[in-house]
Amino acid sequence: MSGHAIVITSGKGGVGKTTTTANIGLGLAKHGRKVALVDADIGLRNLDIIMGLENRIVYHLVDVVRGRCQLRQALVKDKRFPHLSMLPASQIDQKESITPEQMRDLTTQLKESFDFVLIDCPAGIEQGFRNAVAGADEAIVVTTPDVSPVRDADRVIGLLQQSLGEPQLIINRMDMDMVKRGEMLNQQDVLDILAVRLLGLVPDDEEVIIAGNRGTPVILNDHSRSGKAYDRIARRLLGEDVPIPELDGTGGRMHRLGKMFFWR
Amino acid sequence: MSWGTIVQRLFGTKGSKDEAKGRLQIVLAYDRLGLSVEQIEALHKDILETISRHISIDTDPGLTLKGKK
Ligand SMILES: Nc1ncnc2c1ncn2[C@@H]1O[C@H](COP(=O)(O)OP(=O)(O)OP(=O)(O)O)[C@@H](O)[C@H]1O
Ligand SMILES: [Mg+2]
Repeated sequence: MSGHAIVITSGKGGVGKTTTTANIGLGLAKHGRKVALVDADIGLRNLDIIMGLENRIVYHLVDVVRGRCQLRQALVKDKRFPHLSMLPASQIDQKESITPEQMRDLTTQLKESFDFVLIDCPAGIEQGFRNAVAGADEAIVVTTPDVSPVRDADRVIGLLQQSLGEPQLIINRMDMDMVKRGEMLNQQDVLDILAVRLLGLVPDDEEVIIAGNRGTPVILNDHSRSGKAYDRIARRLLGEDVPIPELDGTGGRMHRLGKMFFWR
Repeated sequence: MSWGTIVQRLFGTKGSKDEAKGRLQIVLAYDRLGLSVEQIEALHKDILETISRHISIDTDPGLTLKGKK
């Protein structure tokens, strides 16, 4: 039986694609699935450092495509979950050094050995985007609730509808204090505009930055709100009916101030 | 400032930023060199040869530097 390939994309840069790929990948692996993460951001790889696997890279995606090594030689196994592997991007090549056909072949090959193949897409809608999308069966679009990422998400959703079909949406970095003050688009506002299925909401959480510092994605921190949000998303991808809770205000700036004085 | 930060301040434990800095320094050292796998392996071989001229080392392939471990 062949696995399922999902591309994580956004249009706008810096909205959380790599963070999402790492956390959903670990989430699916935690639930026992065989997972391959593919860093398709050739020239600007970051999935390795976010996953904490940067010191174990020998070969990379372009080496595989060029036949300089076997696919399995380039896969970096995650010691935390042996059935989770990462295929790093090359840091010294260009997006144009591979073609969509080559990415499709690579993904097909990975799907033979893994239940899920998650592809971390570069920002933009050029060749890097086309490569990342080429081998995918479906797409997840990540946005933050700001005007320019939402606008770019709409453009990407349009492009995806022509090729892969309807993507699902993750709204990342929601700040419920701002939402309550009416200073940030809420989930309904974003859905009214983008008209796609919502896969999940992730709060803005300083734990994500700490997790990045450590190379230990936030889903491995059972107490973090964002980690729990990523776990719910992973379970939804596995077909579990996990309701999307209203994010509460805790964890925002006011809450952090409160935490200085009270044990919570 | 979170509760965790207060605990860190009180007990003198370190935050994660030093870890971030150390990891970045190593990663960037390699990124800036822009070496290919062949070049890293060749460099590694040369280093091992040089060292082994002065001290006896085990050149078992299990010990060879695969990537940057
Ligand atoms: N939920 C969150 N709360 C707080 N910070 C976050 C959250 N999600 C992502 N970030 C931060 O936002 C920054 C960008 O995240 P990330 O690298 O995942 O984005 P990206 O879409 O992959 O970027 P690029 O387009 O450059 O590839 C990182 O510094 C990350 O720590
Ligand atoms: Mg990224």
